[in-house]
Amino acid sequence: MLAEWTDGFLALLGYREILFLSFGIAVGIFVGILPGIGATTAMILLTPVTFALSPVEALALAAGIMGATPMGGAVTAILLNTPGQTANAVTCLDGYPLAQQGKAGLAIGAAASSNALGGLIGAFSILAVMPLANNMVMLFGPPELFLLAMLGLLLVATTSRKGRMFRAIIAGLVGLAIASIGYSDLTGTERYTFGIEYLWDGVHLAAALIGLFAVAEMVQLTVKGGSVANADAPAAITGTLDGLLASFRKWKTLLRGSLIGTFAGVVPGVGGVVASFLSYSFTVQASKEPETFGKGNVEGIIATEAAITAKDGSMLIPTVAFGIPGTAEMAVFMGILILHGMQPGPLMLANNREEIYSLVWALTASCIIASVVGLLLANPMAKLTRVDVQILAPIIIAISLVGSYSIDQEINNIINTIVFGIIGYVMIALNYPRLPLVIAIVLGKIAERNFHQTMMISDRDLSIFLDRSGSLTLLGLLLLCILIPRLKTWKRAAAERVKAKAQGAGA
Amino acid sequence: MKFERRTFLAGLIAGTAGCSLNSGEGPYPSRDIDFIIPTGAGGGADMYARLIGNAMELALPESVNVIPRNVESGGGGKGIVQLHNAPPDGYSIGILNVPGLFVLQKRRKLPYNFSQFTWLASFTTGEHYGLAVGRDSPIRNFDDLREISRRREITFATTGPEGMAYTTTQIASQILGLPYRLVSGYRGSSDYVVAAMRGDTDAVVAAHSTLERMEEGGAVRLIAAFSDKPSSGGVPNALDLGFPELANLRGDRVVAAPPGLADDKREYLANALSQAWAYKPFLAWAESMGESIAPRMPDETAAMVEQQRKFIERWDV
Repeated sequence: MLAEWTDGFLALLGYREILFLSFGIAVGIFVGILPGIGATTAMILLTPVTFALSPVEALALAAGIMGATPMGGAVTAILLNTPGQTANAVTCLDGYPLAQQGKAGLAIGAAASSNALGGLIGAFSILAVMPLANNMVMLFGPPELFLLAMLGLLLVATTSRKGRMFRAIIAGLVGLAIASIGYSDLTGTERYTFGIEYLWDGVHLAAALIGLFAVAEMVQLTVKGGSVANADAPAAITGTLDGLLASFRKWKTLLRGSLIGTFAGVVPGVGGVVASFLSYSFTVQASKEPETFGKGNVEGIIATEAAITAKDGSMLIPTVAFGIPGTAEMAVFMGILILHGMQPGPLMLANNREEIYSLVWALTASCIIASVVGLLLANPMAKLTRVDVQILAPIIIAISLVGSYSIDQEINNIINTIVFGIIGYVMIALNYPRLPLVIAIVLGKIAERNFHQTMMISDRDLSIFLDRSGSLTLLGLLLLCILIPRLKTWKRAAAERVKAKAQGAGA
Repeated sequence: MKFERRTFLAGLIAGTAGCSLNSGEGPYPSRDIDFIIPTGAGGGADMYARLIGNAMELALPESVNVIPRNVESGGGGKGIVQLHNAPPDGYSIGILNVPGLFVLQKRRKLPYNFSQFTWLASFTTGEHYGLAVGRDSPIRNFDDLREISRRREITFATTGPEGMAYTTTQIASQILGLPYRLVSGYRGSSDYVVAAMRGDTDAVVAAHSTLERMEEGGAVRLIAAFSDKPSSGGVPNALDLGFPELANLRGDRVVAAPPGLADDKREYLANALSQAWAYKPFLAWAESMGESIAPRMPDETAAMVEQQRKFIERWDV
């Protein structure tokens, strides 16, 4: 075992392997920063390059891209409220307020350390969780995925900032309505497409996200004037070390996020946004200061980033162990494996152990190196938050629109981005939270599909939700999420009554 | 032997034709060729198409590239419509699934006429299908499944109605005489095969190579192969089951151009596409998918498409 670990590591130490790993990391950070383009696109574009490479070199290149993308996405989410990747939308929640307060260094430091540590946990979970992966895949069918989506939708409301719950629910309902647009492959009918081909598959989420966050933020800044960082925020970019250490200090948050991410990666159908949002929501629920989230709480970044990178590692498990790619990114990765003569499944586990260990090492190295590069970029890039918006906004909007188009070279993506830019700006102006809208678009589709499938499986018998251990557990969790905030409120009210009584008696 | 001769001839034609075609607007081709792939990025169909695009470039002038473009929307319908409506100038081609092409039009009434496409080439024998159950399913073999079907409907996991898997499952059930109910809406082959593995449904019909890979992964148990060739592991094939017609049920991938493409450009593109027949990465990929090379030039491709259409139209789908 130890010899295989060592062999896997040594196989990566050739100059060509190091070269392709570094190239992958550079590409990963670059595409991570660019809104719209992600690891999937980068790997597709580079697949022909791998033809001439050895299996380990090809894996090093792919792992470099996959491991580095989340860090690139986090940097722009924090500095410009522009999530480089869809999953980074949650990073914006606390990252951007920190940047506005002039604490971009703290936020990027925390993102870097949680990225590296989450990535480490995710990469090594490939080996640790592999024996359990089969059970996890078996446990999560349509009834469980439906309840998981319901849990997420419930958390949209319960984790919203004080005084904004009603607005969060409204935004969530609008998101659910948007989620219903498109061709339903359950019923074979089109809904709200108005004969527009572009809407056949519903609203393109990545393009909408660019509008909702990047474009809307730049419009808002232009209207307000100044720069991203408030004028009274300290000019020097400091606190990076504090941010780095924060992940160690908040180790429970880091561990929780990593475990949620690991779980989300193993179960096909649970994407990165859901993983990061669930991790964020549970962290808010567990916190003694839930009201500080959304205003620049570093724990929000740690929870999110750890979940994203842990998921990126663990989603290799169903791909490598069973030949089941859970995402488009994994489908491309599986293609690379097959092209290089590795057949995913137990045979690969038996015949290509050295390559698998090399992959784990390469992913780990990629996460760590990308985090270091992210830290090095922090200072120069944080200066962007001081640039006058009259200069910054046109550049960011242009990059956003180009990024939106380049997702799948679709001109209608630009219209989509502009429409959601307007929606996002209106939401900012009216003080409506935008994340519930995004989460509801994602979860609405998951909930609808899986509810229909559950009903088809059970022949319309609702008792299926009570017959399965996974769905029963999730029902219990749903109930707890409804009751805990109530219990907290009652407890607080009771304590205040006792206090008031004591004061009355004292007077 | 036949394959080598074809490859040689195709290479010869491509070499002599070069880039000297001239229709009054400069030599053809003089710019990049748009290659529409009506599936999402990643996955078997996408990789298949991209490798063909790479092979094709070997026969094109250095300045001309083949640019793959995934147009996934509407179960692939959008990509097919875009190809149908593109100008027939030789700069737009696409890879189409046959008989998926007919199914989509039938179910969604999309604005294209499949008989008008300009067929260019096809490459492999086409994917045969198979029938599998979850690894832990109480159904041990096809006889068990048939026994259950005497008491109740058999449930199958599959895509939505626009997907080829949906129609394939319907036709396979009808050929096998099984009463069936479809649990639909799964997004891709790995998704609906995992559904059967989990026990969401009794069984699943999917590409044989996918089922074999997942059987090796311990996810499912293959209980029937729909090919007429001998199958491994004692799994009954179409002939053993007594339903030879199952072997006609297959998915072919065909490269086409918009309706009305001039003959000289059609020949030029077909010859460039024939590079794939000897392109090593493509051959390796096809082998891993359990397909062997079966080169077809335009007329043979058109005949195969027509044969598939006739087969599909016989069934209640």
